Amino acid sequence: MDKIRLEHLTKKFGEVPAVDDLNLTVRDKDFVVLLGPSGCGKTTTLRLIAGLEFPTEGKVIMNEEDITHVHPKNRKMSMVFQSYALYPHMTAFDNIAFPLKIKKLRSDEIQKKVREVAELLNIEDFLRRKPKELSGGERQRVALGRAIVKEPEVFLMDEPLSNLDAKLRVFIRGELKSLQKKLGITTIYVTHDQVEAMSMADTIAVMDRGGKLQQVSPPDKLYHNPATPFVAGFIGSPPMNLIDCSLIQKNGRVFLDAGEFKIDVSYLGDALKTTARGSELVLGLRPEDMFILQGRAKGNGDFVATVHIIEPLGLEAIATVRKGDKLLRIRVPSDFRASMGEEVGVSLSKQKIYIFDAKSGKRCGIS
Amino acid sequence: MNAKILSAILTGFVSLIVIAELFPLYWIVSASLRPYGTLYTTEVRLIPTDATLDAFQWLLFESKFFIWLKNSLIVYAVTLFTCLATTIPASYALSRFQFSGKNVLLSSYFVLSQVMTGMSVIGLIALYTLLLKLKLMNSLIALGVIYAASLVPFTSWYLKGYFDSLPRDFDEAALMDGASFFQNLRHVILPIAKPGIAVTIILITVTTWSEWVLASTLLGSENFTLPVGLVSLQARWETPWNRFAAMSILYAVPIIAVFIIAQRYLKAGLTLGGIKG
Repeated sequence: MDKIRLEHLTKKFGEVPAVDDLNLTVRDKDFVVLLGPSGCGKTTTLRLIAGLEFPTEGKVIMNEEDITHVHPKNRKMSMVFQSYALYPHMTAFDNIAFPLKIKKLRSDEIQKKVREVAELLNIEDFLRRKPKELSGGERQRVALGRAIVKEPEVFLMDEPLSNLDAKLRVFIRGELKSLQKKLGITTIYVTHDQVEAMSMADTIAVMDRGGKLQQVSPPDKLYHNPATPFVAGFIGSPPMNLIDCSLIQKNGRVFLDAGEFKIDVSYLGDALKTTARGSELVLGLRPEDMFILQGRAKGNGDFVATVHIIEPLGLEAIATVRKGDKLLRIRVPSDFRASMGEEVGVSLSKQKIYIFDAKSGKRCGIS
Repeated sequence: MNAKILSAILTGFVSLIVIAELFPLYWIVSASLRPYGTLYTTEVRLIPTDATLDAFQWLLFESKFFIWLKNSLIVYAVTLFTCLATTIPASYALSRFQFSGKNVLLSSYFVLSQVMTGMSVIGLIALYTLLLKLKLMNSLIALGVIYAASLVPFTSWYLKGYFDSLPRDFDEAALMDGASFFQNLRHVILPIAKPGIAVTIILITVTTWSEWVLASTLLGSENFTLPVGLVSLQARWETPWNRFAAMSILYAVPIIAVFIIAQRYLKAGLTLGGIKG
C-alpha cells in the first residue's frame, strides 16, 4: 500500500527551484532515506511533506488523500529536527508529554504513555531533567520520544544524527533502524551521509544539487546499479571513479578512449554500439574493481600509472594512482606497500565497468 | 609592579565614580531624615545627629501620597496591559510572518520610536484638543492608553529582535506536535521569550512611572500621579525639601521592586540546551 505519494512536487524560492518536479512513492512501513549533497532540497522536500512549507506546484498524497494544504497538526506525522528543538523550559518528561497535553489527554493516560516511551528508549532515569542538563545522545532520545508518543503514521527525520559524535552516531543508527522495524511506522529520513543511508534504508531516493530526483532504489541496487554518474559518484566510500572518455571503433573492435589509456570493450558486443550513439561517455570504475600490479607484472595490466598516495584504513587501504591528469582511487589490501611515484600496472575487472552517456546522464546498454 | 600600580589607580578611579554616583542618593536619604529647616545650615554634617521620621510620617498619614500612588498604579496597569497585549502578538507576527506592508510598518515604527518623547510634547496641543472633544480629559485610563501608544513602536522593535533570535525550530516543533498558533505562542514561545518580555516590562515601567509632561497637562489635581504630585510639593516661595526627599525615596520603591522581580527572568542563555548538541 502507498503511504505517501509525491506528485510533481516543485518548490521554488524566487526563481530557483529547491525541489524540481519530484515524484516519489513511499510504501507503508518503509524506511525511505532522502539522500543528497547539502543544499539539494532534501530538507525542503521533508518540510513539504510535513506541511511546514507549501509547494509551488504538485501534490502531497497521504493514504490516497490530497494533504498538500492540510495544517501540520492534522497530518498524523511526527518530526525529529536536526537541532532536536527540545523546549528548553520543560523537563524531558514535559517535552515528551507535550503532544499529548495539546491533545488534552487525561493526566494518568499521559503518565502511562510517556513512561512506556521512556522505557522503550531507556530514558526513564532522566525524565526530570531539563534539556540543558542532558548529553547530546540523551537529547536525541528525548526528541525521538516526543515523536513516538504521538503514535504518528509517518516519522519525518531531518538529519537527526548529525549533531552526535561519530561513535554514538553508529550506535544510534542501529538502534533507530531496529526501533523503526519494531514500531512498523513509515519513516522518511533525510541525510547527506551515504553510509547512514546505506545502512538504514529500505529504499534510498538520491537527489542532485538541482533538487531533481536521480534514482530510487534499495541500497544494494543503488550500489551495484547506479542509474546516473551522479549516483555513482555519490554512493560508496570512496565513491566510484568517473572518467570522461569517448567511444571509438577500429578494425571491427570497440574501444573506450580516455586519452591516457584505451580499453577494449568489444566483449560488450552490440549492446553498447546501439545505445551509445554519442561518443561522449563517462566510464565508472569502483575502487574495488581495479587491481594494482607491481614489479614485473605491471605490464600485464590495462595501463600503467604512478602511485600518488596511500591511505591505510585498517582492514584495507585506499591507493590513489595518477594517470596523466587523472587520479584514480583503488582499494588495496592493508599490507600493500609502494613508494610515492612508483610505476604500477592497473588492471580492471572488465565485467564490472559502468558506462554512462555524458549528455543524458543515462546508463548505457549494459548492466 | 606596573600592573599593581595600574590596578591601584584604576581602583581609586572607580571608587571616585562610585562615590560620585552614590552621593546624591546619600544626600536624598540624609535630607529626608532631617527636620525641616536644618537643610540650609552651613554646618557640614555627614551623619545627621538630629534624624527624624517627621517627613515620612507626614507623607504617609497627612499627604495625598496614597491617592497619587493609586492613580499611578492605575495608569501603569493600563499601560502595561495595553502595551503588552499589543506588543507581543505584533512583534511575533513581525518576526515570523511575511506580509505586505511589513517593511513600511517596521520603518515607520522605527521613526516613531525615535521621536517618541519629542512627539508627545509637540503633539501635546493636538492631544489636548482631541481629548477635550472626546471628553477624555482628566482620565487616568486615557493617559495609560496614550503612554502605551507612544511605547508600542519601540517595544515592538525590541521584542521582534528578541523573537528573531529564537530559532524557528521551536515553532515548527510545536506545530508538528499538534499545537495551534495560540498554543504554540502560549506554551512554547512566550515561556522561552521570558527574558525579552522582562526587558520590555522594565522599559514600560521606567518610562511610564516617571512621565510628568503629559500627566501634568492632562490630569486635574485629584488625579495627580506620583511624579506630578512630587513636583506639586514645590511651593511658590519655599519647598519642604525633607518631604520632597522622603517622597522621592518612596516613589522609587515600586520601580526597584519591578527590577528585582524582572531580574529573575533575565537569566541569559535560557534557550541553551534546547537546540543543538
